[in-house]
Amino acid sequence: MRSTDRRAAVLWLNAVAGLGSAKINKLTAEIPPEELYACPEKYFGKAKELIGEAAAKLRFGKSDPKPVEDIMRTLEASGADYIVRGDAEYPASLENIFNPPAIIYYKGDVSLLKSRCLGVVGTREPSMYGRQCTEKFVSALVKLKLTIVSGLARGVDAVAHRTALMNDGKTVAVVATGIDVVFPASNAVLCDDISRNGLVVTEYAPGTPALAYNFPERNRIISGLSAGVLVTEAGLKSGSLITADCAVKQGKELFIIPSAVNSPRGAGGNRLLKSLQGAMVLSPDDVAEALGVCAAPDEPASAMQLDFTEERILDALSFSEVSFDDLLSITGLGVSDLNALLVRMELNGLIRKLENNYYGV
Amino acid sequence: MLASIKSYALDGLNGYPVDIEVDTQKGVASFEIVGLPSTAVKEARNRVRAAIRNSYFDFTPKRTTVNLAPADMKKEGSAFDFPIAVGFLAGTEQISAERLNEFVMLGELSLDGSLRRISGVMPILISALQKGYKKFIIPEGNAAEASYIRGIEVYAPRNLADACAFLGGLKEIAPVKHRLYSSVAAVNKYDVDLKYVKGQTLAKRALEIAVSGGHNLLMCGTAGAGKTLLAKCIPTIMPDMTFEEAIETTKIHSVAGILDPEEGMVTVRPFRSPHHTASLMSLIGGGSKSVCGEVSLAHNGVLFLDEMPEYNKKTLETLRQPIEDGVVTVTRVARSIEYPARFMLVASMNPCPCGNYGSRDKNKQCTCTYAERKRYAGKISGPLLDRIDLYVTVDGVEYDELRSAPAGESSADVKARVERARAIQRERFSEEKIHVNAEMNNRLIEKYCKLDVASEKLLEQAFRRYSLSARSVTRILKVARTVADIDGRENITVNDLAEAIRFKTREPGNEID
Repeated sequence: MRSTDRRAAVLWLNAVAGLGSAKINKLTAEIPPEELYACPEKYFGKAKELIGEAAAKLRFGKSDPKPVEDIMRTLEASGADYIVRGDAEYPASLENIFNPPAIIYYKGDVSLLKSRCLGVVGTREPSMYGRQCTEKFVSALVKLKLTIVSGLARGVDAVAHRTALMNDGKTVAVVATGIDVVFPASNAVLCDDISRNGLVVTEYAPGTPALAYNFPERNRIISGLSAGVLVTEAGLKSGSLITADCAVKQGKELFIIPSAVNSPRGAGGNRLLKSLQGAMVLSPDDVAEALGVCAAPDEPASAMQLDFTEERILDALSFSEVSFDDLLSITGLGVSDLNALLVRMELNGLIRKLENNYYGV
Repeated sequence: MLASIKSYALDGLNGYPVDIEVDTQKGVASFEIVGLPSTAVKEARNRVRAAIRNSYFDFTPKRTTVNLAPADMKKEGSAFDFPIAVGFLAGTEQISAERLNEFVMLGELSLDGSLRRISGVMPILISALQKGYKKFIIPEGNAAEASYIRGIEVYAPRNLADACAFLGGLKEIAPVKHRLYSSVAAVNKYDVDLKYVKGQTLAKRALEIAVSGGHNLLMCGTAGAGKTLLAKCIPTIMPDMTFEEAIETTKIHSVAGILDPEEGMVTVRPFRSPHHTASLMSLIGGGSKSVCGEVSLAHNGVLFLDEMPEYNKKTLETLRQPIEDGVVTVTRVARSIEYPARFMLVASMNPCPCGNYGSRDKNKQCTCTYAERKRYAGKISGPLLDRIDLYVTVDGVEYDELRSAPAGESSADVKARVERARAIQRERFSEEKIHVNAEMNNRLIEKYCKLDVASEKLLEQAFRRYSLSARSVTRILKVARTVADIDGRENITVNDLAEAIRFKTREPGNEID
């Protein structure tokens, strides 16, 4: 049920009056939003009781409904829309967390909010190891039809989104700015890709710039949407530790990939691991098992006809990452033939080229 | 009395005749040089005076005027000392003027009267020969570079006195003996060889492809991995310079004054590695004298930029035009000079400022921040990177491999394949005015880089997967053509294309998220 009045009212509270989810939730728990919208003066006293001085914001624009329609039109023009609590599209997963978002602006396929989601977060400056782990886990898990939820930040977030899209998986970006703002700007293309092939959501009104205090608050939505949160690499002060914290508080599964004990980039994740003990995961299967999703029965890769040499390469790579020079001696091929073969295998998604002329699966 | 001597001067790489008129009259003693002389030319008067006296001729002060015609071109250098001195001696009737107009004379004088080596003799002789001058007198030190030019008669006396005796018919000097280029070209003069480079199979393959088709190459790797050594091996696998190429390069080196006096000819392909503090002018050429830069000195050879991101960004960007055109036009207010600059660009860089990004060594982990890496990578602009056909990572060699691996292929073996690939290209482009695959334009790519169905499919797959640009695709096609040429295949196969794609895509660590 999509009540137009109710939707307009919540939009008005958020985008015109400038109230956040916490205050909107408090108000709407006591006062039906439609009535509040229609006649703010009547409820002013009560509102003051509920949300204190911020109630003054309700006076703003009370008699003029035009701004709300303006905002609706702008949203529509930019291909965005919004849902509020109580709408059919609003996911149950968010209803159950502390302080559910009162309104969700979105671009893309909103039904993804109700799909089975996994949050993937981590440092903005991943090491090579962190990047590889992110790629490895995400590419394996999207094949099990998990939707990857992350925060569109630089680093692990961007890698997670991109890897999901590259593997034809679904991904949701929960951003901490207005739906019409992209932060960081370097991810503009990625954001555009996600909005076309996945979903971008936010609880902040259009035009909201990147504000430091919104980012940690946004993290509760990432964990809230997800059945579990995977921390691929996190430093001691990483914001992804906040997401991990939210996940624990919301009773979600938490998965942490261990890092080398001497790596400052993974120190935060390792500390968390130490305090949680059981959360350590070593392969994508660990995560799949904990979440109760099983491997798809027929992998497209196995349907492909592999010749003897390709089998040998895959065999060798299944144990560890192997350098180009070692592959030369394993396969007995010439440099140019091996080069050509590896490129074709990579394009077919069988292997991956790593740094320093190494290859892996 | 008036004497007139023929000499020659250079404008860029082209010479033009200069008539040196020396007029000596009675009157107040003076020695004036007119006709736009530069400081070095004006100073000739002091050298000429001392040289004449120290050669036991008479230099009684007279009213002397030296005119360098044409008077509207600025004359540089010290090559007019010798003809001015001869003109003075003829003007004062100390030597006979009979045979003077047979010769073109060039040379700097030392105070003791001996003739010193000058720069730019090779291009002067070539352009003078084209204008029909056949007989020259040049310093002994320049004899070697003159010896390769057929159809001229060159005399190279040691000093002014000998030259005058020769001109007066009192002494015979044998003309410089003609030397054959082939007698000096075939000798291997390199002190590096690919067989001494252990491991690095991929990098060696990239070198072979790059050299075969004249493609530009970027090597990325940690410090000490062997990038510079590999780069130094490039001349050893490049095809021998043809006589025409050798002459082209020698002309430039002669003008720059860096020619080996014994050799007299550039017989090995130049390998220029300007330091990363190099200024824009020193790299491209220019300045008030419009000198040629490193890109021209590297003509027909290799321009190696070690630690590419350390170069001044603006300096790097100016390379874009010579890379595309193979020629540099230095334009100043007074004149505009064209220097050839057809070089193969080979660059090296570290993966990040600390040099350890992506290293497999547990003790060598990268400590750079995202911002540092991004800044470092950003120093080389996209358009410049786009002009590079092959990227290769040079990985550090393990100790075992370093000490025990059998010697690899020698440079001579690789060179034989390169020569074969080049021969195919020469035949293919015999009507097209280009030499190598790298120089193909879109029309030629269309004509010579046809793909079969499977290759088309692979290219499309790669285009999407690696987000290639249109320019990257044309570069890949050219490299694929070269890979096919190395194996002597007429058509590009899927494997050729795949290998070209492999070398055009960068390592995962170099993409910045």
